Amino acid sequence: MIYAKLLFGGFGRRGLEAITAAVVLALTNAIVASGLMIIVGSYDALSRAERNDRPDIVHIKGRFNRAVFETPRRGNLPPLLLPVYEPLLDPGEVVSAGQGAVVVMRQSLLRNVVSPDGFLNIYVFGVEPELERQVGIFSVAQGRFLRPADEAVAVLDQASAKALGVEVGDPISIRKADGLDLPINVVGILDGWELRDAPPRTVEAAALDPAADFVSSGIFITLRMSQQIFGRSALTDALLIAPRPASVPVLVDKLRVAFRLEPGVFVSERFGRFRRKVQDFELSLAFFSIVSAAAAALAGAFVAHLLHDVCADRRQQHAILIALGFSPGRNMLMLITLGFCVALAGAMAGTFVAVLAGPAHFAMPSLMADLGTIEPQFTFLVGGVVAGLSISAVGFGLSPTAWWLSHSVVTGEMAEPAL
Amino acid sequence: MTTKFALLRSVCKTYRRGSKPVEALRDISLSVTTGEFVVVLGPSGSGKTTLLNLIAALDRPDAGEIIIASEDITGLSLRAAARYRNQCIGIVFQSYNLLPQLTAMENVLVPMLPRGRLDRRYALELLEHVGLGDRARHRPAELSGGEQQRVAIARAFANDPPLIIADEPTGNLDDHNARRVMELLRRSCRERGKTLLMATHDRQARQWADGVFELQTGRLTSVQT
Repeated sequence: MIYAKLLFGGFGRRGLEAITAAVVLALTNAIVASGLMIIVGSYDALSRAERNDRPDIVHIKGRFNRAVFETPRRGNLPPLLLPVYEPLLDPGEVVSAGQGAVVVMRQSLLRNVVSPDGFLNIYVFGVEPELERQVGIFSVAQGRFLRPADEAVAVLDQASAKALGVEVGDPISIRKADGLDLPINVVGILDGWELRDAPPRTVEAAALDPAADFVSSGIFITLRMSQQIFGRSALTDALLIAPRPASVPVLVDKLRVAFRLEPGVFVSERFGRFRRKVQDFELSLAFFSIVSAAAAALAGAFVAHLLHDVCADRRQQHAILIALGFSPGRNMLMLITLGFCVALAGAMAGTFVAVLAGPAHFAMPSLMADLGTIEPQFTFLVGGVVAGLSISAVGFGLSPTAWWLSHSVVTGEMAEPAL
Repeated sequence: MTTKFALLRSVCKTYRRGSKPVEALRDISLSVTTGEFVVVLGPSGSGKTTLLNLIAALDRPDAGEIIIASEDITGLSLRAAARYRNQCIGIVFQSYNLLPQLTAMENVLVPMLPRGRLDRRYALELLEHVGLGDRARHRPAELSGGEQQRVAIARAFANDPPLIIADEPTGNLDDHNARRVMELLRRSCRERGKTLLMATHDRQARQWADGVFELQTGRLTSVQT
């Protein structure tokens, strides 16, 4: 109890200054923590964008056009005109134009797929399995995914498998361009997929994600097999993975030059949008860093000054205690405890205000809207910075008195003159 | 047979005031016997407080030796000096230097804190001895100057030290209280067998003392035992 009174009592009006210091520290910490939480949230949004948007990928595709779809082989149905990507891309030209980039070739066409129990008008994707898995996500529910050496095998989604009434090991057939049916064995069933740059959904069909605007069902076969089925090697689309996002503009230029004579070929990239997000992040970082640094510097100096005054007024008590047999170390410990309490109170109150009162979602101003709505996050980094700020401010305030305690003859602080 | 409790040999202390050196003590040699009441007389600025600060190990001499209870205290570390002050010395200040946030009882208990043993019964006994048993729960602001100085005297005896140092203990008191405090100090030390070293500029104090050292501008000008 006496120690508690020695620590926290006897401040007089300086007690108000100590409380003010803690309150200012709390407000400063709230501002700094909020700013840092937004920066962390922005960084997270940017990382997510980099991971999901893959700004290093360029998509080249034939125009989306209506094509005559073969007459279904069962049922009394008329031929259909359905929009699909036109197979306009010569694989050699794509590889040549995309020098230095990894080319993920793809054929995607609608076909009538027949099983022993039924048939389905469905997208057939000819893909390069290993490369496709680098850019998309495929969740295998049964069996396995395609392998590069696979021949007459296919993997299809769960919804289509159910509609066709097939399971792993069952046969299906797809008619080739030469009119012959190609029997294919089902080796895997997918319960989830994220096919990067899938074609727009235009046909009513069973789908893994019924609400999606893009195709979320289909049959995957190897590109080699699809080229046999469609009777041509031309690609409907391809993804080019640049060595790094910054080389995307050059890659896009090369592709546009290579296909300048082909008006039906389109090149799209996400790097430009991603770059705007990066710029938004940099702006956020700069803005909130400046605000946080300014708040920390100004308020930190103010807090340090207040605490210095509080501690300087406290020197007589330290001098008396030293005269009564308290060691300078014990006095220092009391000083540090006082500072620690102020710093802890300021840091915790500020952090609580920032975490509890701060918005769960934060939208940047309109000029910085590309990053989208971000979620401010409290991390160890934010906690560390807030703790560091509190300790620094309190440390600056306490250090002159700590120096005095360890280096000066304290008797001068007592009422009697030294001589 | 009497034993030398405190022995100072050729003690010098110089302060710097700006760039100007001020010789506070010049070649001071003296000795005090156990149980004596010794008065250090001298006008303001003569070096009395500096002398007491050196004996209390609150400061270090530039030259010379200070031996208290057979121990040379001139080279003590800060920690050892603190322990020495806590165990061997009780100090009474001119302006009492009580801690305002603590009660009279707590002020008496403060010197016991470094030892980690708070003897409240003994503290109350000390307060009763100085006539303030019923004011134990009062804070310094609620006590008169004389009462505060009596609390300070009780505090000086808290750890039962062999040496009591009093620096102008009556300087802030009226004549009546000054006499009372002086008598209390003298009687307490006598009863408990303590050595009392008191600095004052009041020449009347010599009538109470067993020995008198007189300082003038840092020099010992007169010794009466």
